[in-house]
Amino acid sequence: MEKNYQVQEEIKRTLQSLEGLKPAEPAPFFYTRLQARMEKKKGMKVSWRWEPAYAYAFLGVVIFLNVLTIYQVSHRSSNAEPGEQFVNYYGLNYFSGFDTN
Amino acid sequence: MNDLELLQGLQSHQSVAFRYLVEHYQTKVFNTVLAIVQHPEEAEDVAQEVFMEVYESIDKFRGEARVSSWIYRIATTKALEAYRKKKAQKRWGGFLSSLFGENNEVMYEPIDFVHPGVELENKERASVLFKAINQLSDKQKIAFTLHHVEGLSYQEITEVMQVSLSSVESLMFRAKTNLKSLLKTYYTSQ
Repeated sequence: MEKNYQVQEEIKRTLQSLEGLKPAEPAPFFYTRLQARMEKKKGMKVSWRWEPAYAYAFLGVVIFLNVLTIYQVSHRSSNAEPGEQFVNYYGLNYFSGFDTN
Repeated sequence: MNDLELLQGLQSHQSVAFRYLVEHYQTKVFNTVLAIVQHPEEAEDVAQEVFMEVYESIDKFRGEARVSSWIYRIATTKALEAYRKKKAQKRWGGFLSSLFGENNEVMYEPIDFVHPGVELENKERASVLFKAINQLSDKQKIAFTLHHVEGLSYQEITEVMQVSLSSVESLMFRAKTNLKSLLKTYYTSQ
């Protein structure tokens, strides 16, 4: 009985604990910090606007590197041609040694 | 500066009007957000987001409600979002600690929130009450916080929450009943 009364009293006093509550204030210079954050966000938006340009530039570099690689490979194989011609001309291919004719 | 002048100033993107709005509402916004997120640094972050949202969406505001009600609505919505996010992170953190923590120890312990505006002799009880408020439904939590922390009347709460007066009365009644029940469980187990 006594315990129940104590509990009810605690509940009542706890529910009243916010009476006379003073408003919590943000730290000083809130507006300055807000402005800085808004400026930062604006800057990020600008860089986002430029992002497609960066993407196209990157794509251009990738295409250039691909073309360069294809060119180098084809150039290398065309350089190899005189060597092959030399081997064929003098019959120096691997199978010529086993030729029974 | 009245609501109309403020609104016109904001919609024509006058920095003077925006500065006035921030300085006039920063304490109301911070106080409301803090009561919901219950963490000062996070409340500052959310309060900043509230004003950024106000700045970005001012052109959509048609003056159908008071500027204060509109700002309170943004503040409570953002605060609840932040609170839910934090709760999800805590749950995820708890899950990870149960997977990777040594001997399943609790790696994150929430700190008891004490509102800085509470009178010294009420600090402990207010901390218990804020814990209980956290267990209310979102709508009950907003109604209770706006009334008991921000001191808004039921009529003002109807504008913020865009519900009828009887709905606010019902929310407040249920909030108090639930809080009494939660506090009874807490104090009986003490």
